[in-house]
Amino acid sequence: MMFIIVSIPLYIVAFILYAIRGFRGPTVFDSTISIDALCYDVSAFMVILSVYFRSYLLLGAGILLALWAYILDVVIARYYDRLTRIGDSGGD
Amino acid sequence: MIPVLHLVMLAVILGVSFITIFLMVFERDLLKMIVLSAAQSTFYAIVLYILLVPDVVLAYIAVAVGIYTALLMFAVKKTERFEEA
Amino acid sequence: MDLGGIVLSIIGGVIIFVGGLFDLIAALGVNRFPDFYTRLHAITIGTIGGAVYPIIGSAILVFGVPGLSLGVRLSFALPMLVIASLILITAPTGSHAVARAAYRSGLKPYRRVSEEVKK
Repeated sequence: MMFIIVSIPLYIVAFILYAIRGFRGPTVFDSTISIDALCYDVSAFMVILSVYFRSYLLLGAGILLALWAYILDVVIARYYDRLTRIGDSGGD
Repeated sequence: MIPVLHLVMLAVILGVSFITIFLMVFERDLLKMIVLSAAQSTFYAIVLYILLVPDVVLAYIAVAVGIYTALLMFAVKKTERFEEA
Repeated sequence: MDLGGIVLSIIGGVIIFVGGLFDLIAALGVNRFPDFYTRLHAITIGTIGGAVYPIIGSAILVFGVPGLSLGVRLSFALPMLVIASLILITAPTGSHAVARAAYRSGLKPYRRVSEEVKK
């Protein structure tokens, strides 16, 4: 339990730094990638907190967050995939 | 009785979430506003998780991170991306 | 408390702490790198090293926590392995989708030489 209490501030500082890049990303892709990594790390943080709270009923939220964060990526990618025609700017 | 560590975590995360809402309201790029909305709902998910209400978290994540984002994206596709000042 | 439990809890705790360090380093790299395509490398470290490793570490840590029965430990550890494998599948796929959309929409990579030629 000592290691969990020591490593909680590392995760909190990492969340704040990811959120800063999400706020001031020059393009939308930077914000998307940063918020996506924030969602995955929040999922890992939820798993660690469920060990800290000693309750395995709390684990379901981690699965859901890891799956819905993928939808955010796919939705943003589909928005740009509709706009650009296939073979327009070369390369796959 | 909530321990001090939980209160500190709640204060920091709620502060970042308030900054996110403030930036989201004054954003002119609607696509970036959607991404910031997903970030804010992620922070609220941690807050609800620390307050030990996992059933609320299950509904909140599915609605606020996934379905709300997809619906707003379909709405932005029909209109223009940049809001005029 | 037996010796094996202490060893397992120390191994799991060290893996969780190293995962936090990975996460912090990845967040610093995201804030320092100049371009989208270089930030993608830091993001990869942040998702695999900062999310998959601590989940596996906490699945090891659960077997060292004293005072739990075997069924409770398994109902901790099996969903953790499910979450780790889901993140291991979905994180590179999503990153690849966004990178492909960025390349298709005409985002140029950062080159220091071309910047100097422009000046």
